[in-house]
This record gives sequence, C-alpha cells and structure tokens, in this order.
Amino acid sequence: MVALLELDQATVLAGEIPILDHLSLEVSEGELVAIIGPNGSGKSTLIRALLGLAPLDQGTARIEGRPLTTLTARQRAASMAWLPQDGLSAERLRVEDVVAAARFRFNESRQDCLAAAYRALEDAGADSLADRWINELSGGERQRIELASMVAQESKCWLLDEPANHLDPVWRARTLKFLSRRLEQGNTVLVVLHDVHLLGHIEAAQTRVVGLRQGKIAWQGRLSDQDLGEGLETVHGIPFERAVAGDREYWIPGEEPLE
Amino acid sequence: MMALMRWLPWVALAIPIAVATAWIGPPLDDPHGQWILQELRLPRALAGAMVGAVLSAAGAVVQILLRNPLATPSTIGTTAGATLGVLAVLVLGSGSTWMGLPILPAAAFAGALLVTLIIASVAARDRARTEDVLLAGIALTLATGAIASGLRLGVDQVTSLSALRWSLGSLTIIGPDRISMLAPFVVISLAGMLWLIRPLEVLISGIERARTRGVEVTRVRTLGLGLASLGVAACVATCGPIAFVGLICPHLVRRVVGSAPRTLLPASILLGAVFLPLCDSIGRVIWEQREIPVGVITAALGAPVLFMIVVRRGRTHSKR
Repeated sequence: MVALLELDQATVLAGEIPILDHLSLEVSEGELVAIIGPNGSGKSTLIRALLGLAPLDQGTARIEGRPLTTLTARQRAASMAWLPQDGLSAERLRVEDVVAAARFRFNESRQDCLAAAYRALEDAGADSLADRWINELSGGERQRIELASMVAQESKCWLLDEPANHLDPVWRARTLKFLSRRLEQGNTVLVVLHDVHLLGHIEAAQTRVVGLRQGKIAWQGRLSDQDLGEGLETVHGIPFERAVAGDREYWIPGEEPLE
Repeated sequence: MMALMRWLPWVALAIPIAVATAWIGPPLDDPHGQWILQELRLPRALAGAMVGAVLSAAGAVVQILLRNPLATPSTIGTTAGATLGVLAVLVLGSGSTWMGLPILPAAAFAGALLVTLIIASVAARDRARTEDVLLAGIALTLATGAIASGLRLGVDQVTSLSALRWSLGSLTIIGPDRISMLAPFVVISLAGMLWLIRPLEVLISGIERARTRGVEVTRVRTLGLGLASLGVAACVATCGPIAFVGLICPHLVRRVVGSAPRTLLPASILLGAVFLPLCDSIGRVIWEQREIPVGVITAALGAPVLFMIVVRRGRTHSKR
C-alpha cells in the first residue's frame, strides 16, 4: 500500500546547517505518529516540509505516492490540515468566518459553507462561540476554534505542531482525546509533542513515537515499548527515571547531560 | 446575489451623501450657480466618490495582503511611483498640454506597478517581515520623491508650479472628460478586488495557513497588488496623489465591523466614496479666500490616525 505521507531522504538547510538531514519517514493511513525531540531538532520543519511550507533542498516529499511539488494548493489542502504553533490571528474576526475560511478548497455556496462550519464548530464543542470575536477568546476557546477549523477543512491527515502548548491540563487532555476521536473516524494524525505521556489519553494500538535529534530520526518505537526510557535518553541526551503511578509508567527527565 | 442584496441599502445611503456634498460650499444663488453645480461641483463629487472608493479599497486589500494595518498604497510607495510617472510625463513630455492624454494613466500605472512590484518582491522573500516591506516602501517613496523634485527643477516656473499644485492632490481640475477616462479603471480595479474576497478571507488568518488551505498565495498577492496599483494609478493620473484615504477608511471600518474581508472591503469602498467628496467640500469652505486641495485635508486627518494606530499597536505588542 502506498503511504499517505512520505519523506524520502528529505534535507532542509538553513544556510549550511541541515535542519532535516536525509530524513525518511512514512505515515500510513489511519496511523497516529507522535514526533518528539529537543528544541531545534527539526520537528516543526518536518511538518512544514510535508505541507510544502519548507521547500526541500534534497530528497522528495510525496502525498499518496505523488510528489508534493506536482500538487496544487487545493489538492494539498484535501490531504493535509495544519495546526500551527503561532496561534490564531489577532485580527478582529468572527469565529464563524474563521472556521468557514478553512473550507476554501470547496466550491460551494456561502450557505453550504456556513452550514458545514457550524457542524464543525458543534463537533469541537464550540457552537456557542460562533458569533464571538476571536481576539476576545480564552486559550481553551481558541483551541476549540482551531480544531473546528481543521474539522471544517475535511482533510485526510491532521498535522499538529505542539497543540498542547499553552494549555492547562484539562485542555491538554481534551485536545488529545479529540485527536483520539478523529483517529476513530478514519483520520491520520501526525502530532508534535513535548510530553510523550500525553499520548496516554489516546487509546490507539497504532501509536508510533518518532524521536528526532539534529534533523535525524534518533529512535522510534511504541509507547508501550520496554525501551521507551532509553529512547527518550537517546533523543534528549539526558537520563530519564522510571516512575509508576497507578497502573501507568512515567519517565521523568533528570538534569545531568549524558556523557 | 445574496451578498448584493445585503449591501443595497448601504449603497442607497452612500450615493445620495456623496452627491449632496456638491451643495456644500459658497452659495449657488447667483446666475452662474446652476452652471457651477452641473459642470464643476457634481463632476467633482462624482470623481471624488470614485477616487475615494478605489483608494480606500486598495488600502484594505494591500493591508490584508501584506498583513499590516499600516500598509497602504501611499505607505508602500505605489502612490509615489504613480506620481513620479505622471510628473515625468508632465515635465519631460509635451509641456503644458497634458490634459486628457491617455499617456498619463499609462505613465502613472507604469510608475505605480514598478514600485509595487519591487515591494511585492521584497514581501515575497521567505523571511521578509512586514516591517521590511514598509521600510522598503518608505525608501522608494523618498527616492521617487527626490527624482520628482529634481524633475521640477529642470523646467520653467509655470510648468513647475502646475506640477507642484497637481502633486498636492486636488479634484479641482475634474471635468466630464476626465471622469470618463477614470471610470473604466475604477470599475476594473474595484470589481477585481471584490472578486478576490474569497481568498482574502483565508489570507487574513495568516499567509502560511492560507497556503495549507488551498490558496495559491503568490497568484492572489500578485493579482491583488496589481489591481490595487491599477486603480491607484488611475486616481493619481486624474487628481494627483491623495494620501491617507486608504489608511483612514479601512481603519474606521475595521473598528466597527471587524477585519473580515467580506465586510471590510465593501464597507471600505462605500466609506471611501463618501469620505473623499466630504473632505473635498471641507476644503471648499474652511478658508474663505481660496480652496484647500483635498490632498491637504486628507493628510491633515490621516496623520493623527496613523499615529494612533502606531501607538495602539505598540501597546498590544507589549502586552504579550
């Protein structure tokens, strides 16, 4: 079967320094892939390379087997929806207009577009926010609008860049639970996370963890793997200690860098 | 169609106001009154409405495309480019017989487009911040301004004075012939910008987001800046550079109805169509001895608005 998303020997350079260094990764349909790694390890660039926002200096990005560079913007939008790190725009915009704008790739009347936007808002539990201004929303409310926009775009794959950042524990959990639901509905999810344990909110056998270090895949495995601790140590370059709470196993980062 | 119906009442409100500005000014009781109204003031009001609509819409579009509320045709150098083009024709060309020549809008458009393309190429660079775009615009405005001043020195005083007067921006020289020259450019520019509303709705949430939602950003940006330049160039060719309309009108509209292009753009067009004829009328009554060019009035109103936006932006930035 052809991979839904594929990077083949992808290299992105910042001047002379590689941000992605001959990195190859395949994501199959219905899979959940969590990207972890220290700051500057290339997590965001990996996502941006797949979206075509960070052009590759070497290698190829393919979507369903077709080179990314041969696809139109609309075709890309049908395959991939993106939740960037920078947050919603600070412009004075109505929630319903923002979510409706995510449906640009469809040729439809304004009425149909708004109807779909409202369904998406309902799906994200944000239908009560429809006529609010986005610049007056709280962090949790903004997150709901972001998720609703992704629902409205109706793309196959969701690419999320640290969606748990700046959120309280409740909203972090809700965001991950929401992703879990999208997986059940057949979406593919690629998510950049700092804390692997957030994946505990997702009950999916297909969860794969990919650890980046200096633009390369340093470790990959499953959340349930026995060597997760070693993997985290390889990726972050510091020791991790095992802790058990209830029936769950956690890895707590130590302070000393590994020799 | 639905959208058209929604705006109909507002259009019906704006047109009478724009027309009514023709009656503001020294009384029209004397025998020449009727003639002055029909041949001078009504064409002026009409031209003012068209120019105001285009400048205001162009301001809104450029602001969305460059993601900066301070970006307008006059701050990114489009107006200066058009002005230089026109001055070059005025001064180097056939001397004083420049009235109604089709070469004028062409020169204005060439100047406007040249500057806008330079700005757009700055804006299209990968790491360009909007500040870079504005600074490049200021640099280009200063450069073209210097060339324009130099051009004025090279000619006789009469030409130089008329060029200076024209470069203040004024609607006094409008006649029916100039309106018919202006009208097609206004229609093309406005219709084109309105046609871009759908992609603009996505672009307002961020350029990269728009790209991932299916917008061909480069194409939309080129088209948008081109259409804005075309309209601005036609306006400059008709009545000289009139600054700040593209800054004030969209800014006021944004504070009332928000930033969504689907309301911002039509509302800016309507406000501009009312605002400029009103400013022109103010220039007619404010000083008894003589008329003040409308460009001077809009600049006097615009500078404080510009200042206010800068201060407010500074405040919202430091809050983060």
